[in-house]
Parts: sequence; C-alpha cells; structure tokens
Amino acid sequence: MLSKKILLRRILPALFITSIVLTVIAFFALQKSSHNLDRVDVNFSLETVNGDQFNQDKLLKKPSIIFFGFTHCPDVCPSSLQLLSNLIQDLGDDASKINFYFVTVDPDRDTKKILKEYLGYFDKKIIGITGDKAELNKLYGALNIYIKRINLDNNNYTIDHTTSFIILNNNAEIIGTMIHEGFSKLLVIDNFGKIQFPKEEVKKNIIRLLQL
Amino acid sequence: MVFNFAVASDKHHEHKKYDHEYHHNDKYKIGSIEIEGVYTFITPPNAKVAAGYMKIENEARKADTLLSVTNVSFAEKVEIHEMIMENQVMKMRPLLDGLNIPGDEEIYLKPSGFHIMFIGLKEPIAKGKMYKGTLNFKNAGSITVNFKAVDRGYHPDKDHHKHH
Repeated sequence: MLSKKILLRRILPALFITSIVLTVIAFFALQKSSHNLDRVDVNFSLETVNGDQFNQDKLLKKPSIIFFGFTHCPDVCPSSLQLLSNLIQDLGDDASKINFYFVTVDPDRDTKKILKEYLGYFDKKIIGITGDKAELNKLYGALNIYIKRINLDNNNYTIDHTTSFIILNNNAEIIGTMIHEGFSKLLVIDNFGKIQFPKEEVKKNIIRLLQL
Repeated sequence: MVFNFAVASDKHHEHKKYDHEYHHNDKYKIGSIEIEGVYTFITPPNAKVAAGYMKIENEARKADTLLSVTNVSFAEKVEIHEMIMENQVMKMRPLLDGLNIPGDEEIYLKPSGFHIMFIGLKEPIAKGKMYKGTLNFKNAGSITVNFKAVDRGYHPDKDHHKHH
C-alpha cells in the first residue's frame, strides 16, 4: 500500500505536471489543424455536361459537394445520387448556396450526352463533369479519390472507387465528407472531428458545416 | 493527407438481415429453398446495368449454391456479384462459383451486399413492371421469379415500418 505521504508529495505533482503538458500539446495540435485544411490548388480543365468549362476557379465563390461515380455502376452510384437528390430537396432554398457535382470515373463510357441524360433522372442541380483522363486524374488526386479499373470477362470492366462525398468550402478547402451508412443514410463528418454531428440530421449538419 | 475518416474500417459485410424486419407477399419455393421480396430498381436513362435483390432461405441442413440466373430477356448477360465497401471504397466482384447459401440460414441480396447484376440492359427498368429471371440452384433446382421494379430508396419493408 502507498502511504498518504508518497501519494501527496510525488504522485499528485507528477499527475499535475503531466496534465499541463498534455493540455499544451492538445492546444497546439488543435491550433495547427485549423489552419491545415487540404486545398485544391491544382490547375485542371474539365467540362460540364452542358459544355461549360469546369476548372479550379469554379470551386471558389460557393461551397461544393462532389461525388465520383459512373453510369455502369448498379448500386452505390445511383443510390448516392438519390440520397444527394433527397438532400438537395431537404435543403430547399439553401441548396442554391452550394454547387453539386457528379464527376465520372469512367470517361471512356460516360460521354457528356450519356451522363447528362442519366443525371436528368435525379435532381437537376447535380452537374455532371467529364473530360480528359489526365485532367480528371488531377482532380481525383487533389480530392484523394481512389480509382482502380478491374477487368471482367468479355472486355467488360468495373471500377473500384471512393464513395465518399467530398465537401469543399468556398475557398476550395476540403472541410468534410459525407459517407454512407447502409446505403440508406448519409453521415456528415467534418475533417477534424471537431463537430460531432448527430446522425439523423444530414441537412442541418451540412448547413452547420458550411456555415450557410 | 488529411483524410482520416472517422469510420475508417467499416467493412460492410452483413448479409444476414435487412435494416428492418422483412414483409412481403411474393414467395417462391423450390425444394428446401424459399425466396421472397424479389425486386430491382428503376434505372435512369442510359443505364446499362441494374441490380436484382431478394431474400433466399435454405431450410435444408446442407448448404446450397445459387449457380446462375438465366432466362433473362431484358439484359444481355447476368452475373452474381458481391459488393465490398472498404475504407469507403466500393469494390464489386463477380462470384464465379456462385453464391453459397449455408444450411438453415437465410441470405439477403441487398444494396451494398450481394446482388444479381443485369448487364447490357436492352430497355430501361420501368416502374411497376415485372422482370422475369430463372434462379438455378445446385441442389434445389431451378425456379423462375419476377423482379418487381421499384423506386430507389425503396425498402422491402418500408410500408410496414415507416418509423423505427
């Protein structure tokens, strides 16, 4: 058994100092992270399905929510586009304060025309983006999107890809993501875990994250 | 890079249940295999693929295998697929040896898990229509089912469990 004397003279001061040190470290860690957002600062030149130019400047002025997928994707892509459409409806007037993009990971098959007609089925605010592979790769890289082509039988292929929605503020900084929960819900995550968003309120969470 | 997802290792691999309890009237039975809740989603224009879902119950002690789906007139090719979500990356793979249905168990084909993949759609999947396909099991034999075309966001049990 420890005597009371040792406890008071040695352990308590040690604990006290440790806690101060930890507080200081935590303070600096948080300070650092708030100035450390990843920013899209690569020059890329892509096109919207309407033929407008889409480049890094379009990520300024307004916040953006970007999803990556392809029309030959049976499950997660249409589900995601449906969930995004539901969110846009929920946002009402606030939806016009955000740009929503669907960027193809399959430019070989997803032409502007095919993509435009496909997206017409979902909320019209979702803008399709396609372009040259090299230019698309710049955007995938800047947003940390994993893409891998997997060859199947008969010259067919599928594409493994990141299914998170990337949320950018109006300075093209990645401030958060939305991820799937069981394909029927979206969860909003801010990039530093500073805000613990309640699960059920995607719309409110987006408004809070983007400070709309 | 900054991307530390809060739920970094969520490997979706739950085939034992839907999110809610299951309710439906379409039931099929062949040997010890029972099938219900057979559906597919309406497809957007230009979609070349669609996925079919259902619940398969094996009442035998011995495992069975869904080997293939044939007799599908609305697509050029049909495969049985598994989807895996790893660190938010979606991976889809054909199950070349078929889908194993363990004895005394039920397997759910559902979004984010297993699905029947219809490749090369000859027409868009339209709401309310039924799409025929024959399921071929190794032991139980073959049975033709109707895939009901439903809206995306549909849950087989939604009508009964709007609030949970």
